Amino acid sequence: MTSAELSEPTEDELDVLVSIAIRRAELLVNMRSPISAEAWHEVMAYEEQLARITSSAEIAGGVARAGAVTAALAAGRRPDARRLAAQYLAEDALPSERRTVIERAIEQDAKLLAQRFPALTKRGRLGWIDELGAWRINVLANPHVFPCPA
Amino acid sequence: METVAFYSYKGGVGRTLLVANTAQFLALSGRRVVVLDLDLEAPGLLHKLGNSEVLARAASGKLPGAVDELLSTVEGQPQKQSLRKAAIEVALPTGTKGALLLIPAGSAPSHTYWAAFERLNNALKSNRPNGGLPEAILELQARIAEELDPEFLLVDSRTGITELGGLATSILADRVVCLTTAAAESVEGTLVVAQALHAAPRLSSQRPLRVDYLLTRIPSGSTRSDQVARISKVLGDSVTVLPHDSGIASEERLLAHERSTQTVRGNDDDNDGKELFSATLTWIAQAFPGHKQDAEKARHRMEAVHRTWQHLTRTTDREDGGYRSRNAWSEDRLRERVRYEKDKKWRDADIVAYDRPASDKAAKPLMIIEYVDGEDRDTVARWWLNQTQAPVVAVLSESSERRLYSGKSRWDSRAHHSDRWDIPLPGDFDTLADPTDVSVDSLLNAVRRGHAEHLDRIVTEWVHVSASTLHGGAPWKPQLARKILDTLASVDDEELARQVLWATSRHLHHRGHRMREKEGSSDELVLSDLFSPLLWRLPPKASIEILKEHGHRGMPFGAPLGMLSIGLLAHELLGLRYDPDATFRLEGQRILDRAGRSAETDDDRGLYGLAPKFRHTEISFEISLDSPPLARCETDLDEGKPRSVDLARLISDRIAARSLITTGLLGDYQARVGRVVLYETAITQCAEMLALRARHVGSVTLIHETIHALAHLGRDLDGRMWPEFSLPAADGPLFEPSWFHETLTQYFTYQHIVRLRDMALLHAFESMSNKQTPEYRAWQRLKGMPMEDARSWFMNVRRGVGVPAPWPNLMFDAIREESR
Repeated sequence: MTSAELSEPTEDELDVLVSIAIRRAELLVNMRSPISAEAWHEVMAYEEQLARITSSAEIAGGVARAGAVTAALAAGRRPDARRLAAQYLAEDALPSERRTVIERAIEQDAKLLAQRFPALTKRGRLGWIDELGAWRINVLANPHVFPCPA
Repeated sequence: METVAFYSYKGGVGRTLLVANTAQFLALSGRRVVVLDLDLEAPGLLHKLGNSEVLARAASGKLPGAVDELLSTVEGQPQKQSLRKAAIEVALPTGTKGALLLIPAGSAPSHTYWAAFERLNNALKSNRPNGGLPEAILELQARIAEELDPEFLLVDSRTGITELGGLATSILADRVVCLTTAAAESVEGTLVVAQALHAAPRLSSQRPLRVDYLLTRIPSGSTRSDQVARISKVLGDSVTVLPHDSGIASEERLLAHERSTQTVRGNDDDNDGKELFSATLTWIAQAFPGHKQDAEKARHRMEAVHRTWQHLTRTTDREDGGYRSRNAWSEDRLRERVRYEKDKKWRDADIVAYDRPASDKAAKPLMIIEYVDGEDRDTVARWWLNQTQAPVVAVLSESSERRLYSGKSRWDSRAHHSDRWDIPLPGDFDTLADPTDVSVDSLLNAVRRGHAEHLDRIVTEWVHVSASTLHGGAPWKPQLARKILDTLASVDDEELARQVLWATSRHLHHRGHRMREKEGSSDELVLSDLFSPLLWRLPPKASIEILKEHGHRGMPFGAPLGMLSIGLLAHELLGLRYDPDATFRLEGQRILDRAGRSAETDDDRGLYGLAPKFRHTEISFEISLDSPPLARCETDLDEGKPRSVDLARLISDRIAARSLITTGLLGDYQARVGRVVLYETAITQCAEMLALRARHVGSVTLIHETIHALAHLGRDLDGRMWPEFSLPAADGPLFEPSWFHETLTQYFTYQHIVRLRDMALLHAFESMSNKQTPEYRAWQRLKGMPMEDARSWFMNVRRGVGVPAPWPNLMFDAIREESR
């Protein structure tokens, strides 16, 4: 197998990987692990890849698309979730039940966010929460900014 | 709302103190301010701004705070209560337009707080999506803006570069104030943080971050040093240097709102810490420009309250050459910002002083202190006097003038405005009928009631109305000076009398030390017109104690005061010079010259080898409980056996026979050892029998025997001594007084008592004299003799050249007349 073939896993392989990743992420959440968000990010990556190689009309394709959006939300990567949701909802072939799942996940997340941060919501600053995700990644990626951030 | 975070890389730089002071200043300037304590691991703002009730709630674990609010957000629980319930309203002076709310960290240091803090830490460890601390802090900031609507949010951040310290600080703030000392590690750490703050990205719609630097705890005088200049260059242009103040450093006290639990250092005067105070307020005013007039008013208020607090709690007074302890208010008897409310009207006192620890429920206010701005001070004072039971109200004002009002004159429904300029201390409430009245009469009344606390003030007053005439300008009030002297001299209690003499001598010492070269004449006046008269007029036990304690040894400088007084008596009364040290040098030199030895030989063969021979020239004083020589024993002349003498009977018999004598019975001058002795038992019994007071009989005896001693040990003004001119020793029951010595000594004793203008002493002298032998009474026929003539006659006799007529005849005639 070529390296290019190696870097492109098959649907079956991705099914296995995503199953394992989901199980791992769930366990880490139960264990209150500080790396559970990273585990969900991994799930999101597999689901996104599955969605790429499957049609939205197929059951597996629909499940993968909905899974990618919910995993992104679980990972706290709200901008990614919104981007994926917008992309998948634009696909006409997406079955209505999957479309509903994606829309509800985004709505539910927004609702939860507004509940948790009522004052920021009231002041129209809820966007700062999304920005903070990027902010944190930026800072962590540049240790010269905050040499000992946490 | 502008959010300002106060940050320091290391602790101990005065950050929390600065937050509290800035918050107060802004609130007093009319701004609405919220202070948020995010130094969660070591919260301290509560102790700077909270009152006792709040501190008690914290101690019992019932004070909600930032930790609880952050925890509920992190755990995703809905907010149950308004932030107003967690915010503590810090009391501000009556009429202040601004407001100050404190959101403490929580119930620190109670167990409840640390349990909540641990929960927060655990919650943060599990990486909840969108539930980190920065998000929670941003939400808290938004809630503060939404619910409390302040103009300024001041945040006390924790130290170090952690998520709470570094990240939260940079996200939350519009401005960061970085504090650092000049220590290398502190400066280096601050630089790292500074770079991080500048490099950290901002959220959308946030303004660029402004960073100010404060270089703190720089020793006074080093604020412009090279080191400070170097650090300033590294940190940038926006560096302000705050000087060091060890008092504030060790006590962490607020400039205008102090909460120290330690004793205030107070080795300075009321200007203690003024440099730091001034620099801090200047920085705040520049860093937060607003309405200039409001800021100036706030500054005046803080300065006035600060100075007053210093004055109340300073435990020492600076004096030339050292410090003197001061009976200051203990801090547990003081409370700040106390609100009194009655009939829906209220006022906030800046400071309240209580009669016992303020925590005691039975504590009653003794004094209310309020800074009044723009209101009628008399009206304010009347309100306090009517609404509280406090006997004293002190009103501070912008003009730096403080007025004291007393409740003593409440009968006329007007507040009495006192002339007193300083604020009363605790002792004033115990010793003065009206603590605001420090007139001479009031102070003397306190002395009459046995209080020694105001003696220094009285002595100063005496100097003011007496000695000041030497320099012109000040009012000369001889009658008042006389009144002070007579009242002090009337003190009966021996301990109080001793303190009177100490207070006078202390004043003399300090003035002497300060004015030795310039204004020594003031010292002479205090010595001659206050200390010396008191020494001879006060109960002799006290006087002798002072004479003993003022012995040569142990004196830090100058001649001992007791010796100076005796020297003054010798000079002014007898025309002699009494200075035992000079006698030692002159006479010793003479002896060594005759022996052909050098006085400078540094061993026992030199001058100091002669010291024992001259020890008796330094008059010593003693009060003895022994029997006097006349009563020690009498030998039965028939059988040659000793028999005891009944002292009371002896004195009684002698009084009846008008043969009472002073020397040998009431007192003695022991020429061989240079000692003046007063026989206490004999004096007491004699006084009882003559219906006199023992202190007066003792004083007469003391003066009489001291004159004997001076007649013996004093030198002529040309330096000659006449050691052979001395009293016969009173060595037994057969002792007979020398007619010459006793007549002369009684004459000078009378003259001295007349000069003292002490009627009680003169009465005692005359009453005693009437019961004495003719030699002791002859003064009555000689009292018209001019002092100069008496001295001249005395000098001739001392020299052994005889006495020119008509004095011997006059003396013999006087004695003969008295003998009839």
